[in-house]
Amino acid sequence: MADAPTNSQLILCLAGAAWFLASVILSIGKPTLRAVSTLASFFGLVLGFAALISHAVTRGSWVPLEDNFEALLWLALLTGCVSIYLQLRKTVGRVDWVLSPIVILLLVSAAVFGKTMPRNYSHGLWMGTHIASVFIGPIAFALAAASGVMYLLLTKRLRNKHTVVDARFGSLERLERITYTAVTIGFALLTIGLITGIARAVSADTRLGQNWFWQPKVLLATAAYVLYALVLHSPINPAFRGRRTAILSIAGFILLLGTIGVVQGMK
Amino acid sequence: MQRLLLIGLNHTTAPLEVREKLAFAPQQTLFALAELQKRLDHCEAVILSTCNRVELYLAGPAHIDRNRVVQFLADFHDLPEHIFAPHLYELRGRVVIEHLLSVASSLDSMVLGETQILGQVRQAYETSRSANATGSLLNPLFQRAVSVGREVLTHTQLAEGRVSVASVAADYARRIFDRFDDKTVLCVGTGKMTQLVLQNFISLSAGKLVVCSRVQERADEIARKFGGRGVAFSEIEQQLVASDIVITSTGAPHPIITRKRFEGLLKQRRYRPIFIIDIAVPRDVEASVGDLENVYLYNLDDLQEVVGKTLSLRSEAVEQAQVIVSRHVDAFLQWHRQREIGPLIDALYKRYNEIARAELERATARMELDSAQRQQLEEAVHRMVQKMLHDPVSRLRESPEPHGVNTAYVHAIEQLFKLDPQPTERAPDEQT
Repeated sequence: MADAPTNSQLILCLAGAAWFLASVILSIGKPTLRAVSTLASFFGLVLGFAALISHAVTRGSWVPLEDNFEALLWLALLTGCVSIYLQLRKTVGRVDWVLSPIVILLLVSAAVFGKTMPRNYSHGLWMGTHIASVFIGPIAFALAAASGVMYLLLTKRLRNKHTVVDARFGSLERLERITYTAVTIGFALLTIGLITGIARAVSADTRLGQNWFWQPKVLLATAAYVLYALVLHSPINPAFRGRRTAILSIAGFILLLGTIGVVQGMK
Repeated sequence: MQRLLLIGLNHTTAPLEVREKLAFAPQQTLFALAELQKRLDHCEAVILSTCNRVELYLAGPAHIDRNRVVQFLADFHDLPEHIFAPHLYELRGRVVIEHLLSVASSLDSMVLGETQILGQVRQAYETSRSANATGSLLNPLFQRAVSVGREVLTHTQLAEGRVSVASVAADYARRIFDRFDDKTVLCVGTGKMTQLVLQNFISLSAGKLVVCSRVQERADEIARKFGGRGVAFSEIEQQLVASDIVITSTGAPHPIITRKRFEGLLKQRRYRPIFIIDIAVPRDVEASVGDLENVYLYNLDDLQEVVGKTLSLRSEAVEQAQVIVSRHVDAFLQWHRQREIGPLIDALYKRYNEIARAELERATARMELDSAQRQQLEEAVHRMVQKMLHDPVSRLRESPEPHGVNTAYVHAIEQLFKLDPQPTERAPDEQT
């Protein structure tokens, strides 16, 4: 039986989500509240890490990604770290408008799935590599989706001849570069995740069964993989660059979130 | 008691030819400050000299005579008074504080919300401070002015956006491209407006500049001026493929860049983003070109509309800025008044408390009081002193005088209660 998070760990996790929510609300307010917003995200991170440490102490193991609560928490918190880093760098300061809601979603998912469907992840090279790559890759894809959203927003503002285009949006060129770099990193990790996942599915007696290929999580992950392959294809076929790259990155990340949801919801 | 005076002129009171004659070059300022202080009994002085204003902020213990300041300006610039004197304004007391805070906040600028003035105010103050020309009044006043200016510019929309077509275009370019050293700017046409926009784009340090004109000599001339290369008009298609930013103003009667023509170039351009600034009237670029993927097209109306919206946005922020300025004027006056009358009030309380304590000692010397009774008596006497002085002190604090303490009250209190005057804070003519 897996170690379900304790109530105090759940409270810490949800309190972290609440701080991130506060940071989103503050960041869309007055520009003067930006620093307070970043501070709120920071508090959210601290609470999240407190939940993580508490969970490790309860389990008596410091090895990361050993169960689904911890894996989702790691994913949320590392995405939060990326968000705060970008806010502080100010190069694309508004990217937290998208990343913070993703962090909130992941923190809530960690609490819900960790409590209702606790699941241990088995050890071993193949499984360990699979879990690490499928839980770290989405951080890069989250960033790609966030910069994709910012790209679309900025394009819309430029096309509408908006009076004041916030300099903290960065530039289209920079956002496109971030999207492409993030997708490249995420794609490499997703490739590893898919290969190790397939290898495990065909070689071992997994709960996916004989027709593992037709399982929703495999189909969703494959669809996301194809979309990201198209994004990486944009230097060869430049018709995909710009807005299309942004849309594909967002669509790919939605599919990945669906994959994570399906995986967590599977009995 | 310090007196504040401002004598100056600005773009609303004097034409450029007068302003430029009265301006102080940076290298003249230190000498001018020394000369001004020598003539005005070493009063505090700050000279603020910009393109749009020349202002002398003066503070001294006594009334500062306007004529002596005007005479100084005439002598220093070797100008007859009648050339500039009618354009001068003279402000005193609270109005000087309001004016300086408005100037630092860019509320008094020719272009509302321009941020350069704050730096100029700071620079003027720093120059005076380094020359030991500022003191107990102008130091805190200018420090507050700089902080108010900063507050207004960051907490209101007064400095939002750009107010010239060229700077708006440059701003949009920054939102499309991250770096410009690998970008090519193409100028089609060589009109005056094109050159104005180009001047703004110089600050972006674009990698290449290509000027294209029907008259090759003209193209070469403009290209030389801005460090670019002139090309013949027949090469326009190749240049449109190679360019990232296009500025057009040819004066052609029909569009020279049509959608059909540009669509054919998109693939050759490998769908790279392109920023087209069409400032020609009639337009050089068909409006539908702007609907194409990765094409950002702005015409003169678009840019002017942005300028108009920015100006109206700034106008809306004026009221908010004025509230901030007004709050700080009151706070500064309050602080200044407290600083001026604080020692006087202390002396007044000290004197009455001493009298009360002496009388109490005398009256209780022959009584046999325990410590509780004695404490009660002391408290009663203390309360009496507080109540007796409450009204006069309140009136003193609620001075109606615009730039500080009500001097008549200060004199009266010093005389009536035989207090030592405050020699460092008061004018010689005010001393008893």
